[in-house]
This record gives sequence, C-alpha cells and structure tokens, in this order.
Amino acid sequence: MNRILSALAPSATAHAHCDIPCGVYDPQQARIEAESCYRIIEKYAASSDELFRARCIVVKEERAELAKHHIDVMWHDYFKPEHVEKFPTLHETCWKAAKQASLVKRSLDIAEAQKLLDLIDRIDQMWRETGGPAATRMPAPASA
Amino acid sequence: MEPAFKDGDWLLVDPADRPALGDLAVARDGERLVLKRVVDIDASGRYTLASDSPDHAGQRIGPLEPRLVIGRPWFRYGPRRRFGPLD
Repeated sequence: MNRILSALAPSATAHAHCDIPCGVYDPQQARIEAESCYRIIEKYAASSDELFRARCIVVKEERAELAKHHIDVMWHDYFKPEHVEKFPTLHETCWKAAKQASLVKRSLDIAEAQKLLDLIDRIDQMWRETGGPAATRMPAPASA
Repeated sequence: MEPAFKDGDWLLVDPADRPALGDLAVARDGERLVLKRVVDIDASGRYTLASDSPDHAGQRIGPLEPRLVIGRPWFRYGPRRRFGPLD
C-alpha cells in the first residue's frame, strides 16, 4: 500500500499560500553575520584557550548559517526577473554566496570569510542599483 | 488560496493546457513552484498571478515569462474527500 501511495504522490510541491512578505530586505543582515564569522576566526587564531576556541567554532557555525539564510531570502524573495535582466550574473552570485557561507561554516580560513564578505557586497551592490534601499527599507530618523 | 486549496492537496497539472485570464496556474517563482490565479496576461504573453485571498490581493507575482508557467491544474485527486475536477 505504501508503495502504491508513493507512486501516486505528487512529484513536486507548489506553494499556494502567501508568505507575509514584510517587504524589508537588506543584505546588511547577511553582512553582519559574515563579519561576525570573520572576527570569530580572528579571535580563534589569537587564542590558546581550548574552551574559548571550541565556543568560537560553535558560534561561527550559527552565524554562518544565518548569513546563508539572509542570502537565500535576498535571492528568493527580493530579487525579481527584471533584476536578473539588469544583472545577468545575479543567480550565480547568490548561489556562490550561499555556497561560500556553507564553506565558512566549516572553515577557519580567514580568506574564505573575506570571500563571503566580498560576495555579499556584490549582492548589496545589486540591491542598491535595483532601488532596494528606497523600496525595502524604512527611513531612519536623522541623527542630531 | 484557502479555502479552495489546503495543504496536502494533490493536483493534476496539464502542461499542455495554457492558463487563460482567470484560470488557476502553477508557475515557477524563483526557486519554488506556486499555485495562484492569472490576473493579467500582457501583450507579450507574460503572466501576472495573484492569490484568491482578499487579504493578499495586493501581492502579485510577475510578470512571468510564459515558459515559467507550468500549466493549469485541472483535477484534485487527494485527499479523497476533496476528489474531483477543479473550477
């Protein structure tokens, strides 16, 4: 019976219900997490405390996963087909950034953390040049 | 798309049946498939989709190139109590 049900089950899932798209998108969310990874790797290298180093690895994995999540949100929810027309490398850049976040998650190489920051900066540039700041962020009060 | 569609509904989609204005459509939106209704087809044949829910009436998907529209769902075969053709 299970085999019959498996054979009859749909081959793909379509989403019928709307997210609650708050409409707020900013690559800085990913960048903050990537900066955290960079600084953690620096602190790991500078420390000889094994317990501290172990904690660095745990927290870095958490922040790298968050960076990947924020990259995915930009990729899947902010960018639209017209943005891809303007930036033909958009999909490749987002894909590479997500892959790089996974690599930083398991690496203590600071060069890889810098690569992640660089890729997020390219996403940020595309977000800015597609009107992201005006379209997706509320203006902050001017500082005195 | 509730109440017409619920999580777990199994649908048959005909890729040869191109949705018309007002029809249901399954389309590719980025990395995922969506089930929405066709609210506009522009002069270039590109589709704009929207939810049936009045709470989400302003949220539109598109305009989508025709190649991103997979087809029109025409039959629900699961669950059993909701078995039957779609409007």
